[in-house]
Amino acid sequence: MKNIFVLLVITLFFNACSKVNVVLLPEKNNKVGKIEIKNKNKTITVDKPYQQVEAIDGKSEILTKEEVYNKFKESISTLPKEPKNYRLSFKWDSSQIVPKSNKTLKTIIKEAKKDSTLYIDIIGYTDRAGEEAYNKKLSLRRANSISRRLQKNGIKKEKINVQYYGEANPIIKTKDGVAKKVNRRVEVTIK
Amino acid sequence: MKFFTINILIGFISLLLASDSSGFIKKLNGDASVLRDNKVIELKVGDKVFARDVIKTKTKSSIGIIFNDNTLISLGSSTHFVIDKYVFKPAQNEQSFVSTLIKGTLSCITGLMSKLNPEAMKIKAKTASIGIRGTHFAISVD
Repeated sequence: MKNIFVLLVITLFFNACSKVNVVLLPEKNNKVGKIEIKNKNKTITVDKPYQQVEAIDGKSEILTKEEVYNKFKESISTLPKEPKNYRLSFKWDSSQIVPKSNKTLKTIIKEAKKDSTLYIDIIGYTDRAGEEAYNKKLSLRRANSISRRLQKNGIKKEKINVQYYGEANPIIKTKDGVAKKVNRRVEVTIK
Repeated sequence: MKFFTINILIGFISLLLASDSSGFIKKLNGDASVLRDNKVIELKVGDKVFARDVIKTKTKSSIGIIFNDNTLISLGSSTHFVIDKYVFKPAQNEQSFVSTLIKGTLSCITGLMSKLNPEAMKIKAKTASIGIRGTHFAISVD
């Protein structure tokens, strides 16, 4: 009997100590998202900036920005920056970029060379003029040409991840056989 | 219009079918390790992370991860975090990211995953299941 009592006290003690706090923060553009907490049969919605909800007992309060940043200082200050995305346009049926994209390529090389850059994703695409199988290879040629340009500028091959999707994922959807400038592209993500 | 925006976003993301990693370590302060296939491996900046990894930070340490869909997650000190499941295949319209915060603190800015599918991202903590509909948030488990 005494043992059961001790066990009960220990259980209550641990339950009282176990807290799950969820805090919603505003985004850069001051937009606020939404979080839904499900615990057993309850659902709690968190949708106000700096709102903290204790997920187990459902207690909700609005904290100040300072309180939140103090509590989560370590993790918030270690959040990585969002990766940068760039788009290069290509000449018709070619793995050469259009002159307008030269400036973007220079920026990409500059960013890729930075010590803070760990990985670079290069993804090739085409429009829907011509055969699908041919376009798949063309998209690889486009991606490879950019990969080679980066390597010529001293960027290590191990950092580069080349992908090619041919006609897939167009910026603007078209019927098959249609030439569409905006879809002839390579997209580069600097991580 | 929304459709085009999402297509542009998909384009920017590598549909990483070649490798099955879920993301990589972008920032590290102090010491962190991963428990993978019953082995403890010390983590360094640039290391890849995978589904089923258990990531642990030591005291006065923190770590920042970039996932394939550009979801950003950072962990504070003395934190245990599990990547239970990570699937991101926008071309096949498959997205799912389930993780568990066993203890410690976590901050997150969601990426493409929860833009494409608001049901895709879930973080478990104790008995609670936290459905993430997007953007910026933090969780602590004491």
